[in-house]
Amino acid sequence: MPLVTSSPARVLNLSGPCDLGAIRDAARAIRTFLEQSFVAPDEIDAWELVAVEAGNNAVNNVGPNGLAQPVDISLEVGPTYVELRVHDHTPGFELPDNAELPDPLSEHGRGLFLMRTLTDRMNYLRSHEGNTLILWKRRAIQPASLAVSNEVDSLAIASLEATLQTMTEELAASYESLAAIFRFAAEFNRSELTQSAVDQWFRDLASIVGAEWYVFRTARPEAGGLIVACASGSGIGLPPLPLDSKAPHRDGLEAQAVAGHKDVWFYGTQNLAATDPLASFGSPLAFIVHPVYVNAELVGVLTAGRYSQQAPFSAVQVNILHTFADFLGIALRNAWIREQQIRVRLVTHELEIAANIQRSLLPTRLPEPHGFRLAGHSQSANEVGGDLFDVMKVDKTGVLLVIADVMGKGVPAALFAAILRNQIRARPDLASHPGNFMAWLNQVLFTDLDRVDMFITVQLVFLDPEARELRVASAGHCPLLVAYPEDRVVEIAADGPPLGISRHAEFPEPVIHLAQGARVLMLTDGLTELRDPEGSLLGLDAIKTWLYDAALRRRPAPEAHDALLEFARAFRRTAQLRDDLTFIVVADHPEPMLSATSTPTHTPAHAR
Amino acid sequence: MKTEARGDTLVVSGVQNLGADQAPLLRELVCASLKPDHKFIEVDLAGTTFIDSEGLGALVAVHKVVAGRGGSVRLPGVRPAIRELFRLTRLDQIFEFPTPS
Repeated sequence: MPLVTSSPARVLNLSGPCDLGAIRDAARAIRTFLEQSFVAPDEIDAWELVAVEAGNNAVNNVGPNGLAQPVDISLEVGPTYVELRVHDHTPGFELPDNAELPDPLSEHGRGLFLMRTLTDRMNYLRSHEGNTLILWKRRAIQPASLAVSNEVDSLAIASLEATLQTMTEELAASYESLAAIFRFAAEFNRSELTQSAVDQWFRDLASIVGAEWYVFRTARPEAGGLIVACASGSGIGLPPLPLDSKAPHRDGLEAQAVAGHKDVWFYGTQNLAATDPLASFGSPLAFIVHPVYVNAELVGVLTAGRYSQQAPFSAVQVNILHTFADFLGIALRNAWIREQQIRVRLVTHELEIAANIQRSLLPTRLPEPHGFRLAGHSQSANEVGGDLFDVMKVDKTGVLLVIADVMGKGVPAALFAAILRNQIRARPDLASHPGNFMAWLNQVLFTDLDRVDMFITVQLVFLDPEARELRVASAGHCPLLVAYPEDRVVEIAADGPPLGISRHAEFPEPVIHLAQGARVLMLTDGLTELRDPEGSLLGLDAIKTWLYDAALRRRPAPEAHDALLEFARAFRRTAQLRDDLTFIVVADHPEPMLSATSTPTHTPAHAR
Repeated sequence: MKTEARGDTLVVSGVQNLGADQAPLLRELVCASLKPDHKFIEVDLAGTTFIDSEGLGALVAVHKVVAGRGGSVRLPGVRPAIRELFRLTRLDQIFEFPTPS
């Protein structure tokens, strides 16, 4: 194998034909070079063997197309390490984490074991251009070899000087690396992770390792995958790289590095695949792609390179790149976690405000129509809900009772509940005819509800205490229940569609006469659809039975309110509330000579 | 590399390096020279400065031939660095390393 370049400055590049004899020749050249570099004799033996094993792998596994390609070997001897790279044109193989010895009687399979055992680090980088096996080992400390004696010739002195020079450069690089990391840390502690800080970090990094271009992507699933956070030149406009391995446009060495959880190297004479996003940097290119993982989670991928066909970075430079990228990965992950915490805190705070507003919309004091008393309750399954109840005085004696359930839960439902309440409150003149009122509400709200595919079920009940009559209109809501102590429970079922379903809906207005002792219950499906811990539904029949009992016992409204809550709680036991739960109880109330003041009862929305 | 018959032993000498390029030669040479009455094979490694995994594989192959006859492979004159390779790969358990008499 011809010697292409040889220098006492510790790098030996060899290139030769793809055959075993040439590999043996290369190993001899490596031995000589290591001897000239004052590597310890036993380490020289080991490196000669490692070079042969690595070279044999490149020859023995090559396909027909690779036979004509040369095997390139480079050896770098640092003051503290030796690194060997063998570039092959085989189909490549998966480097196992551990290399086990084969059975003693096996005639093959010891090469990988020897390479693993005789070195400290072993990487196998696969790319379109071929594969590179990198073997690295720290050198043993040999003070004797550094002692200059009379026997050391001028070549040895030159070699020592070169070694010292390299040591100085590495120390300087390490110092710069450390200094930059400290700058990063200081900057990071001082302020948030700003774009300008990140840009500056990468300019520093490029300067330290001698990168001519770079691109750093961060994993942002919500933004479409790995997006460019910082780049030089044409890297700035690169499209996102999908995180989903099945997604199209996952061509390219960045995707390969991410999928393999390993660095990918590229250098050589051929161009990158046209579909590789990195091809936008032009050619020739030599680069390393380093995926950044924090706690096994992908946070980014760093690519740094030069415009060259040679291997881009030394072992020291690669170490610096790794250190910076991993440090930045941790910083980004921490920043992301902080951002999430702030966002959650903000949303929680906003929901608390919304819940307070919703509670403030519930009536604080219920009217006391002559001969009747009212009690209401509303409880949300979430911080805010879509149920609503309201009671509004109409004229001198009448009262409009409102109960509604906006489809869904949460903030959108709560918003529509608030809008509905305000629309109702704005038109007390329509309240005594709930059928017409409901048609008007439907007209007013239809466009907004239809636009967002939502609907509201509403029950409007006008109580005329003088006539002891209820006028009822229902928009797809649960039936109104009326219980008579000497008779039965009557369901006044829904006759009109929910608001937001049909623009020109009409709503009938049946009139119910309330006999003495009647008890009326308006409710939302959150009550009938309560579930116990076993998953059984409470159901309308159980509510009707309870209401009939309340009528029999002549329970006043506040007592009926408390009893119904207790009834629901006893049924639900430990089961979670799945839907908003709201009801209004109307009970007759024989008026004494002097009218008594009763406190309307409703439970705040936040009570659970 | 050459062979010589000494009683029940086939002696192989002149092995300077036993790398992947030379390993097939050792196998072929032993196959061609081994007689039915050869129970032992002695590969003189005194002049051998290099052995790789393929060379070790060739020695294992030779061992399997005579092990079936109740014999063994002796490796006299192994240098310390090479002997370390046998220890590392635990092949020192199947070969004999006689010291020079």
